[in-house]
Amino acid sequence: MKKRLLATIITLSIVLSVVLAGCGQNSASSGSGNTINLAFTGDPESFDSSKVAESAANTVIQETQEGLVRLGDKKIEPAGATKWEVSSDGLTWTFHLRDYTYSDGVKVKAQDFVYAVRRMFDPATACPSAGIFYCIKGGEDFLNGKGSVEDIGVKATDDNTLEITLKTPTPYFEQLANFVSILPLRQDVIEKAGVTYGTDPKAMVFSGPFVVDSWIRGSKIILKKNEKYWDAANVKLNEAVISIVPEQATQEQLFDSKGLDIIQDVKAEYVDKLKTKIDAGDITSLVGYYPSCSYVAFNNKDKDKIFTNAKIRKAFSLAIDREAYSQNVIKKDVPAYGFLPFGLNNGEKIYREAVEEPLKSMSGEDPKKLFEEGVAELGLNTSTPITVTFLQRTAASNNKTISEYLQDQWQKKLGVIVKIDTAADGATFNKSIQKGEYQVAVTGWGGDYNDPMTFMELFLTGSPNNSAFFDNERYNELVNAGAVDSNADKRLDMFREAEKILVADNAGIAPLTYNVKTTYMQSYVKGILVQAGGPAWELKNAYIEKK
Amino acid sequence: MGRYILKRLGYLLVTMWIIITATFFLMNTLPGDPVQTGTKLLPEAVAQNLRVKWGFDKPVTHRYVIYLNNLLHGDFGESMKTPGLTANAIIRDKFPASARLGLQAITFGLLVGLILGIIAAFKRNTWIDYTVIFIAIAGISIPSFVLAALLQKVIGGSLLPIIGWPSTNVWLSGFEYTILPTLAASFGSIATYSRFMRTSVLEVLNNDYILTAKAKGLSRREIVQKHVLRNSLIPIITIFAPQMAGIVTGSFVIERIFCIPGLGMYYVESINGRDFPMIMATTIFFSFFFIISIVLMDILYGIIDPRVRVSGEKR
Amino acid sequence: MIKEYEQELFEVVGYDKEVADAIVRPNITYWKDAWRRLRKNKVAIFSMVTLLVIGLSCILIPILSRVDYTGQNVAMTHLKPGSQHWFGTDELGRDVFVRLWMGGRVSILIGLLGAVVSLVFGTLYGGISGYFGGLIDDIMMRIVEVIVGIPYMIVVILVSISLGKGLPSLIIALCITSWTGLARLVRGQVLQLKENEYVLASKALGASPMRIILKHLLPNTMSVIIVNTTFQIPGFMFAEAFLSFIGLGVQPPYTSWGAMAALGQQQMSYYPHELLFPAVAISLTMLTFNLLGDGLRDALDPKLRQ
Repeated sequence: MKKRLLATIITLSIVLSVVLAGCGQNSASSGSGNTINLAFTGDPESFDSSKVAESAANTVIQETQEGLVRLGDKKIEPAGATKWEVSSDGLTWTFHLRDYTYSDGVKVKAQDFVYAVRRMFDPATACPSAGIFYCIKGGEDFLNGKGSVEDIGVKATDDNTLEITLKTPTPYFEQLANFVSILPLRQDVIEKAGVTYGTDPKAMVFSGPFVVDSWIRGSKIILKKNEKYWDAANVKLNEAVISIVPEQATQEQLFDSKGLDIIQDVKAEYVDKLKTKIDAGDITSLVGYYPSCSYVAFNNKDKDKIFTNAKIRKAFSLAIDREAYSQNVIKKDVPAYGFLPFGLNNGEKIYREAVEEPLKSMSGEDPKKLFEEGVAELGLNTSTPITVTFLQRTAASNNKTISEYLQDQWQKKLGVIVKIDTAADGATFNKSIQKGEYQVAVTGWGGDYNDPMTFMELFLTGSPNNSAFFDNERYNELVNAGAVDSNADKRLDMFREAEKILVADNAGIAPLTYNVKTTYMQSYVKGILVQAGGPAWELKNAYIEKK
Repeated sequence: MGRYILKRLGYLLVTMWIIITATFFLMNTLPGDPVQTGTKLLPEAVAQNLRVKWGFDKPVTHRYVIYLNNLLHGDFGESMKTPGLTANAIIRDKFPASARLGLQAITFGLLVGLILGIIAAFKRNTWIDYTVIFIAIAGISIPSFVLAALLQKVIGGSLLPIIGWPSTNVWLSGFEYTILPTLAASFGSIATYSRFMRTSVLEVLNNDYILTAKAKGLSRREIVQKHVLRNSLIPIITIFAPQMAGIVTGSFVIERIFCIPGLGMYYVESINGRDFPMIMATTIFFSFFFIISIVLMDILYGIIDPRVRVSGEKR
Repeated sequence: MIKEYEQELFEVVGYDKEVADAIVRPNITYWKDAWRRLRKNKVAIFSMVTLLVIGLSCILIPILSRVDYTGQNVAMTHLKPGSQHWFGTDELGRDVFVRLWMGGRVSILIGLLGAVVSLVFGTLYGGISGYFGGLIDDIMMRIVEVIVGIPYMIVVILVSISLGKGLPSLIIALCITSWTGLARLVRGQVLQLKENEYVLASKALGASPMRIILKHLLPNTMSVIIVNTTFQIPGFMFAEAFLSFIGLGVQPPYTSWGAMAALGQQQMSYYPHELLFPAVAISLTMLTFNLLGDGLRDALDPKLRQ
């Protein structure tokens, strides 16, 4: 019996390993013609354009569907719509569609856009991006169960003409037209798939340059050229293989062995390693500002009073050495002396290039003195050092480095004691921030569309994401006026003043860095476009030059 | 025996019900709004619609009743984070990869661990013994993340592929893609099994029947096979049981590094993302396997050593 | 020549009931005897000395060193080991050498405390469950199943919220599930051992169940207990790092080996020393605990008594 037991175990395992080894097969994909190898760090949530708001899903959807416009090189270009006009009151936008079809040959009609907009505002859909389109007349009401679906300001005057009516003039509506939530949707396809729409690419139709050929969750997504695409003649890639590679180290190793053609969001140390290859011309890079800003949020409604004082907030803000922070501590991005990042357009101009960063002119002020003045204003007891609590979003190594650096800076320069409190996880942190149950924390904001408003509206009084609880009447006035003004120069002036109030005069927040997104690719990859608001990489014109 | 198994199945239902109930209510006391887990708040109207969709507008006891009812019909619900996908579908989809990794790693780990443990026991306090201890220490105190990354760096690339877990014919194809992850995942088990086996064998070797066996002139090999192995297996089986259950949870770290489409991620991220249906589904799935493996463990105790009467039968 | 012994040379000493049972060798207790044998084991003694050195360094070096473990210098981050910073610097330019000893304080404390708590609780729980068997065993083992079944992460988040942060809640969070493995191991052993004749003999002599468990059964499971405990110590050190990740462990600027190793993992491709030193510290401590454990096992085993 004993002998048999052992013998069985051994035999079984030998047989098992032989069988397993014997079945090993070479499934390495042949690098046929124009195939590009890419990676995501995680699976997309779904390919249903009304239900997602994260980057991976966004990218695949933008590569596989053709909406009214496409984001070309730093500007909106006609795509599904050949041209569009705005009424003189700025409220009615009329888009004229070209004749183009889905991958099954069915024509894309203006009605499909109407369906998409209505579906986005349908309470049952619970579209996460619906809030961005509240400017469309009747949308918010329908979402709240007040109006009827016909009252939503979107209609098809004929198969090729789409008319969108807005609640208030929205000078940047063109930028919103690039959003995935208003890509055309085929009612028949969606109704056939039911709730599972977006999970199985075989049950979907695609109107963009590529189609999703297969999606093996947690493993890879394969995009193939869409032969029915209206501009198929200009699409050179046959295939894009997007592997799901969560670990940065694994991505780096794949990129080193050319198993990956593009790598993004890499560490400074890895960039150093790439230097020789870059110098040799084996690797090219694309630097792009991403419209996102990380900042220190002070709780302006602090229960312990400390951060209700503008001078104290300003002192904390000025005590941070942003250059050292960006260069030596996080080793990425660029120091931020304002709230609005690079890469946002105000009309034709880039906002950040037209407006000087408000904190730049304040470098002369002494934070310690400001702090003491603030403390005196509040009448705080100074016999013991003042203690503040810094809330960090989990103690993941990158968060911890940031908190410990700020802790050291403030303790050294202001003579305060900084205690670090850790939130158990992201959801707990978000809850504390949103409910105002914190004193000071690091958080950030990424723009949803290419206009200063995507940042400015954040700190309006009562805005749901106003986690600093910033409350300034003049700021509200300026931003609300800027939102609807169609004169770009006047908007610029209003936003300039508002930003100065936010980060300098009142120091509601302390900006830290603007995000810089650098894309590294093998030099045989050509024609890739990487920019904010678009997919992670625009493949429409990309191709692989002979390896 | 039949009655014993029936009794254990009855216990299984009760224990599962307690686990489900406790997890359900504990989960609902976690801080954070389950429909507002992102860094950006959704507009309140959207959030409210989501709350209605997922039933968060109802009191928790009411939801609990609905949940139990659905569960009785085999419905684990839709994952909140992947619209359109049910928890059932996700588990069906992801389980094979985790299970294959787990089975391969356990088989390898158990075999190597037992052999090392026996050798170490017989060569007690010699350099062989110390080498085995050293391997065991390394296996326990080197985090699997580090080991996996080292394997990728040193062996991966030129000799073996670093990623590409088989996605078609999931159980049998692409063995070469599974070698590195299996090695990385089995190192810890090798360590545990070898240490426990060593100590357990030493214990057995002190028994008089081993002396008798030696006196009878049995070879060392026969002693091991006939007397030592069987009598030293109780602790091994005890450790083995939860490891079997661990198969279904997958290894979060190993799966992440080697890009294996397994379940591991869901155990971690469903809680961070407050994906309630997924939390419940993974918990139920894991607990079920855990309890079943404990039942098997108890039955195995009796087979290995007939004196052990877990079933409580009178002799 | 044969010497003649005469009767007179002898005298009757009688026989005294009191001293008849006296043992000639000095009476030594179980623990004394164990210590005597442990002392003879060079490897075990060497391990003990190493542990002592590590412990003393953790206490003394941060006090005596002129370098402050919190002192940042962001212009000198990730320096390689050198004459100025023996073990290099970390991501904020702090001296790794001093931080390592500082971190050891927390890690060793947590490792030992956690091990002791789960040792005591797990051993007793498993012993009782295994010895009594039947319904008691059923209930006690079902409780273990429930504890293992409920997701650990949910429980620790709730612990951190309801009990606040600090050493007590950290120990609770560490030990909530850690004892269950040992409890099952001990139970398995006891189920086997309790069928031995000496248990029957003890029962026949009227020993209470607790006495049988503590005096007869647990000493015989000692080897499994020791292996399990020495294995759990690094487990606690890593668990502490995980718990500080979610806010339950040590908070900055304090540190621990687990936290340093976790941070070093992120940097391992570029600054391997930041992983190497804490990892070696953990491994070395663990190695010494294991060798000491082996020595203890040998020393505590009455069968090896000479």
